[in-house]
Amino acid sequence: MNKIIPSIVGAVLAISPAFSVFAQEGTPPTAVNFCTRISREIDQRIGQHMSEREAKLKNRRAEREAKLEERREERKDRLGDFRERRDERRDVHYAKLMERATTTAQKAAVTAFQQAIESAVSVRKSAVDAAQSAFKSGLDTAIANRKTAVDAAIATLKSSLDAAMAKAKSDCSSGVAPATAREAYRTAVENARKKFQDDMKAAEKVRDTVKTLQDTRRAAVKKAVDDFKVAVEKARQDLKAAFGR
Amino acid sequence: MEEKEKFELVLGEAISRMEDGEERAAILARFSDFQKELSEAFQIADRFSLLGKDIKPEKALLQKIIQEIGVVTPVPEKRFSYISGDSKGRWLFINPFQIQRVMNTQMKVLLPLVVVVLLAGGVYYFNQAGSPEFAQKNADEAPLSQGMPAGGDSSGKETVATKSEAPSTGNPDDIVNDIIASLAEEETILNDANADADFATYDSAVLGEFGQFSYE
Repeated sequence: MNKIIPSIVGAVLAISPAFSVFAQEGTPPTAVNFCTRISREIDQRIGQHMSEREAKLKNRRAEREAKLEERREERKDRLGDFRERRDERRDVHYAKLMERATTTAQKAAVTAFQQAIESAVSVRKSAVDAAQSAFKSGLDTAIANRKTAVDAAIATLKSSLDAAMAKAKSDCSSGVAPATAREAYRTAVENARKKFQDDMKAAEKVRDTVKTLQDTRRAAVKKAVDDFKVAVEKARQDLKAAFGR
Repeated sequence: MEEKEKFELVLGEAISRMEDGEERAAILARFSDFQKELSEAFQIADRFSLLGKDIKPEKALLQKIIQEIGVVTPVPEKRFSYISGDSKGRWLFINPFQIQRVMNTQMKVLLPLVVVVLLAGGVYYFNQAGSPEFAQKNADEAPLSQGMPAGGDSSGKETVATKSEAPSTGNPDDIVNDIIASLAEEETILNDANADADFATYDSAVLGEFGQFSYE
């Protein structure tokens, strides 16, 4: 019995340093394991996350390009069909007008009417096409600028994360307390994340650019249409005057 | 006033005087210009008992009618309702049983047939009305000035512009309105480009995922 008590005391004293590690004030287990996990788990997980998102972004961009092109082509076809149909329609109108013109003056008025309308149509087409083209190229430029900005932001994020990871590994290998290393790593990652979010907010300002493009296009088309209506109205009045109305 | 109208007035006056008891000779003397016409009218009136004389049918005709009635009345199905002495109202020229039979059998065929014919006619008419030939005919009949406003403002007509599918009428206003109305279709196509703007931020959702990772 006399030998048992000293043995217990000795054992307790022998393992007491281990207890002191767990007894660190407020330190969670994750912090304790940080240095063992950072190389084989955290680094791998973040690397995989970034790779997956980059692949997803690449697919998304390819999808955007295809859909945008498809929409543009479809619209171009629709506009082409519409214009072709309207050109034919106007020819029918002119023929019908000429058919009903009985005097030389009326026939001349119909010819003048036709020239005035065709001229107005041509001017409107040019103005509208210019507006559409400006919008298209403006949108493409905006998308390209955003892509550049986003790619730069992603690159910055990745390099920041890599730097934070390298620093954490260095801290862990150089004997810095895991909790301290973890905290430094967490701060660096949060800063990188914050920077990326700010970069994304800046990239989202493309909406303002696009809105300006939309407004500009809409105003240009409206002006083209208004000018066309004025020209057509004048042609109408001239024609009616020739017919004595 | 034409001769015919004068005679109608004279005839009316003559009949009125006759009804008042004036002698025909006096009437003819009064309207000496229409003596011949009035004489003929009096003869016709006499013939149709307009002056109160009864028209008596020939004896042979009456016998024939009686014989025919005799043939009809013995057959119960062919007896007319007016044969009975207490019958009142309009005479029927067809046996009620025949009416019933016709309604029950023939009308079952005839009525739908009539409806089908009417529907076919209606469809044909509306098809003709919508055909280019029909519109062409109407347009040819329409004057060139049709639909032309008196003033210069024709903006209100834009809302009633002709459809692009409708045949050309050759009317200047219709033509101009048609041209202006077509702008709406073009604008619809052009405005579709606005939706392209959404593609500028097509990758936003994916980009948002970049910052969502755990470093624990």
